Amino acid sequence: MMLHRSSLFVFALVASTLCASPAWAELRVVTTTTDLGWIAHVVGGDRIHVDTICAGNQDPHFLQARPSYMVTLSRADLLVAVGLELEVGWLPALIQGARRPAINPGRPGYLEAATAIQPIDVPVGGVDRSRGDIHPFGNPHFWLDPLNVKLAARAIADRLAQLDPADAPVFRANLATLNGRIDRRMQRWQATLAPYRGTKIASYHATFNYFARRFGLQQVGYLEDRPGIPPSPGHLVDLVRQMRAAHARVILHENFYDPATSRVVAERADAQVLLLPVSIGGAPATSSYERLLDLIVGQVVAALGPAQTAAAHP
Amino acid sequence: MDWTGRARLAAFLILGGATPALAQDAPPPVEGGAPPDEAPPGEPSPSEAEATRAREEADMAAALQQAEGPAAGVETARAPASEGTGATASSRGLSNLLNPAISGNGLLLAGYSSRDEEDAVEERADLETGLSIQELEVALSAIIDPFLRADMVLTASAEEIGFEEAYVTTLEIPHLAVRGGLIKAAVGRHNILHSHAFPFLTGPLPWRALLGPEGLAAPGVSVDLLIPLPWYTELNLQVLDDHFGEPWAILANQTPDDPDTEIDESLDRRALEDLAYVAHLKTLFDLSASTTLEVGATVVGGRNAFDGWTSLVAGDMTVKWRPVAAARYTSFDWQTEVLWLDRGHAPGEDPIGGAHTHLRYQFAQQWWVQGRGAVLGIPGSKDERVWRGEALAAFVPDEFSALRLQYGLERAQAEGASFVHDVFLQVIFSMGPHPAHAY
Repeated sequence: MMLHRSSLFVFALVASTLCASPAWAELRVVTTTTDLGWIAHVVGGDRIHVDTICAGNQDPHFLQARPSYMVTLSRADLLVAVGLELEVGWLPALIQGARRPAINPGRPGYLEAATAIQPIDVPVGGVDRSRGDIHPFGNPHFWLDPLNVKLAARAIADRLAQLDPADAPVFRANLATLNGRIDRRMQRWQATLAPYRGTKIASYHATFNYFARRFGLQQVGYLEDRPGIPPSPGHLVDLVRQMRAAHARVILHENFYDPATSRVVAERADAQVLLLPVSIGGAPATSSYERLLDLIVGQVVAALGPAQTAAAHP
Repeated sequence: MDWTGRARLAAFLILGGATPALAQDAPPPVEGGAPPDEAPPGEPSPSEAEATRAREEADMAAALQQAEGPAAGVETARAPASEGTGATASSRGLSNLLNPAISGNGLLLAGYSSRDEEDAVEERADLETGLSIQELEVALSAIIDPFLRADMVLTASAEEIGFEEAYVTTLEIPHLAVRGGLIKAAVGRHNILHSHAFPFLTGPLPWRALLGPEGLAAPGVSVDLLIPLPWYTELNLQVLDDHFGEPWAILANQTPDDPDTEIDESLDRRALEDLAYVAHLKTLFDLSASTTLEVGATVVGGRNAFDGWTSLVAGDMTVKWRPVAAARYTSFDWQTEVLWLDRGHAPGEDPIGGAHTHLRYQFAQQWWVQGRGAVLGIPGSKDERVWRGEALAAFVPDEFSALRLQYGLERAQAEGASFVHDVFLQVIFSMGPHPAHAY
């Protein structure tokens, strides 16, 4: 028995030496989107290395499961995804192809950031695809609400601390810095948009719903009424009428979608199309979350015109 | 020890092990005292901590070994009976919660072919005039436990229902996935596709003619290794036993021109050397953010029923272009595969090869145009070559349905340079959970 025991001990020692990453190695984090990548980068600081799969100007619904991403994932210690089935069309294939047990769903190396937030737009009633390629667990585009970014950052910081307990104080300090940065800007964004509370807007896809809800803009409708399917003329006619009736003057349009349809609708509804990046890096000068929101808030305000005009059409 | 005994033992270990741990985690609060989890002075270095952990793991493993002795603690581990309290549907094992994901596909076909009925080669699954159900498929996928995933694909044609694939895949081995079960041979790009993912209505002519309409699939083991290189490189090594159902044409003693030849039962092959072996290497390079180049090579070998060695060599190359920002509206891919088959000792048969190349262009969110050319009978004499060209237009409303119209033109030199035309319309539908698409 003693022999057995000591051989087990030697085996465990060898195994732990082979498998455990050395204490000085930085944690390798892969995020699906650039926004999560930015959060991880701010929270992890120099203790982690961050790679991002989906570029800021790329539609995260329709990414291709390119095998080169598997190579990136095969070296990851932590995979941070948005969740709520945003990446369902490609991430499962990448995870399986990566052959990296540490990031399998259910392991500490796999985190869906949306688990930290309260989802909106959860479909009620029967769910089937007559409603298009819907997200059955709610709207995954949570990151344009700055308060959701704070929640996601906390979840990421907690997970980093779990994987690398020695650096936990660093992650907590960085999280506090991130929260401070967001809180300071939040006051400014809220002040800028406060006069427009209740203003009606339309958008192409449901990407701006968390943003609109946070800043009090009211969504009249979507051009893409059934996700993943080009809108029908009938639906667009209805939307034009709704926009006219509600005095909606702006269509928020994700810059990776073809703006042709939005332009046609805007012309008929006497509105303006705002081509907006929806992720960090989605346009020039959006290298941080503050810059991204600055740009979106600035463009929305510029398009809506002086606040009095907006208030004239409550 | 039987399984019940093991389960009881496991329950005992979990319960017995967890209780003191919980007690330690939540000590009574000490007024004004130091926090209970305060680290002792002189924190151990990482290597010491790892050594300590390794020691603890070894201790634990030894303790588990000891605890496995007969009847140790088994009686005390019996869980209290819980009948009659809060029973739900799942108490009867009828919960839907952990069911496998189920998806279904259907391929419906209608069209006209100028080929005479007697010229149609059944073994090649040539398109035949009329309305038909090309295929109905049901796929089940589930995570079995932390270590395994299982996939089963059932297909039905008019006459029969069968398994197209059914295998388990390991999930917890770094760099490696081992698949076992009924699997498709990793030959190039086309052979691993299911029919609903075919770029055209049927497989490429040389593939249908040489490998059979179902392609190469058999019970076996596949070791899929992701080689740790900066670019994607995967090596598949497979051992397959083609003696499940119909033997592979490439190994059986049938000849393609004479599909009615009886299969000689006396050549039932069961020795190790009679298994089929497949090696496939796949590499992929990012040429730019929007373009990739994939190159692959395959070798298949096995002893055939003529007591000779069959060698199949294949090469494939795919270029894909998807613009970063507008991937939903336009894309392009070009794929070429070549195949060469030598059925050693097959009487009167020379090695034969084939190739196909196709272009697919997506010009709008829902529209594709495609073309494919294929030749069978290279490098043999010109007289025996068969050429086939196909043009296809597809309307793809969303990821779950498609309507495709294909025109095919085929020319077999041997048949007095006669042409065969065919025009077919295909409806594809998929139901069930959103699939994660292979690249």
